[in-house]
Amino acid sequence: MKSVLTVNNVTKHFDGTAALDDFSCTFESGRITSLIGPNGAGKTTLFNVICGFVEPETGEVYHDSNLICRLKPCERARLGIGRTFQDLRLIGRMTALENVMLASPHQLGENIAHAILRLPIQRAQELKNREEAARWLEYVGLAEKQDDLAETLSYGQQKLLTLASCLASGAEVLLLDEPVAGVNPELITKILDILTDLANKGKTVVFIEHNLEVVTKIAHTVVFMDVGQKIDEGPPEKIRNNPRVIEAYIE
Amino acid sequence: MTYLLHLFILVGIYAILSMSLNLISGYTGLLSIAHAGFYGIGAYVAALMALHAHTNFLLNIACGIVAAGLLSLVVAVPSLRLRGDYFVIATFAFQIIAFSIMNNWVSVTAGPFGLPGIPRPEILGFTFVTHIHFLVLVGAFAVLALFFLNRIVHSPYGRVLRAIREDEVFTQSLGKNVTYFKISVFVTGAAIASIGGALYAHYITFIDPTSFTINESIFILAIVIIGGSGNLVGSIVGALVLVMVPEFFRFIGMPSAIAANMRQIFYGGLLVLFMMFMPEGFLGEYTFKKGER
Repeated sequence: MKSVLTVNNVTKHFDGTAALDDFSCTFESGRITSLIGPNGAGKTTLFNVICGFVEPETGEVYHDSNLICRLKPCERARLGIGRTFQDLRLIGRMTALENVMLASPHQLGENIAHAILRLPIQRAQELKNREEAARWLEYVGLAEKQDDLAETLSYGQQKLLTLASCLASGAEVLLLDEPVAGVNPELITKILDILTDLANKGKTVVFIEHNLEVVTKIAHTVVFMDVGQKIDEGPPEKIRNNPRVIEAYIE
Repeated sequence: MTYLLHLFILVGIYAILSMSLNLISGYTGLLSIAHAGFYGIGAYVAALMALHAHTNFLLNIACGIVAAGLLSLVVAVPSLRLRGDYFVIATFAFQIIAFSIMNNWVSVTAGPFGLPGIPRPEILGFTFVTHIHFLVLVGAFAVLALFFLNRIVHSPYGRVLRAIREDEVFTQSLGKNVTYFKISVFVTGAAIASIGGALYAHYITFIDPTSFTINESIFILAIVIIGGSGNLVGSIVGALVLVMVPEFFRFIGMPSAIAANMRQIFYGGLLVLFMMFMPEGFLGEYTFKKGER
């Protein structure tokens, strides 16, 4: 299987404490990788380094074997590296549909001259964008919520909405920060089904999760992290039996 | 009657200024206190062109737009790469520098003496002389500004602006080049403000630096906040209220020296009251108060 994202020997400290310590990992398309580990293990920092929000002290990040360390966050997103945030980020006072339409790449109307001129070609694109956004909402099961303000949706629905936005942005690599934490069991099953489906469609799914049961259900590979290092990597069954993992999760 | 027309002309000019600031501050969430600076740049460029080169009014406006647009880049490019607060300080600095240049570059701007004798505007052989003429002219420009700004805010471009206002990191994570949007919106707002300046210069026929102080910037910002951030019609309503209401102080027989001070107290008091009890203004969708919706 083709590897789409490679992180090589990345180190990052915050106030002298290592958030990532010589960390290396490869994420492949069509596979679901889960990052587990105690708080402060460096999982979110890893996402921030990959997306360009945090600059590592050493190490490189490759996407399709191209070095992307010098690219700005928005440029990396346009390469197809999408992410969601642990502290649910979305535009509360836009409708669900607008949140997804916002994400669509290469919009003519985002050019100020096009915004003023409103040529037929731009209006047609906007219409198409609207239809596509509605399809993404339907895909995540929020079709009937499309005209509701994002801030009025339930927590689980907001998680689905950020996933829809991420997909609409054209992301091939999905870095999902705790996509099911705090969500009711019924929605969890739904979200996990979606993640499995996305992997089957060839997307690279990487998600941070604390619940080992959830991880075991869908992940192909589990990466166990602690104090910024990769302690173990492998299929869920193997990781479950690692003494360090047992220790961390029983405590 | 002439007096009332005069007030409406001012409302039109302030509507242009506040709508353009609303694009920057209300829709995008970039607090700027340099707007009077760009207003002044538009006025001075138009006045100098008219006085020295005897060029046509429309060309003067166009030159003002170009000058304000280029100078706004000087503020925007370095400061908008940084986070929020630096930008406010940069606009503050720009405002102070712009005023000092108007006040001290005597060989060009005549400093505090100002520039008198700016000719009446002329379009296709028609000269705008009376107050009615000016009201139509200013009204036409205000409608045009509303039309353009309305298209901008109700477009995918405007959607990104609102997203930046709400959550810059999220917007970036969707692949939007936030810096490009912030710079372009600031330049656009500044360019439109300069039109207000050119209209003012040709209307009053005399300009001096006291019309373009930081107080004026704060006044324009007050119109945006009181009228409603993120609502263009709100800015027109705000301009109407803030230009008209203080005029009543004159009618209740207040001596003009006191009325002028009363006006400052009125603006300040009104701003405080709105921030406390109605932070979204008359028609706004956005509040500058953090943590409240």
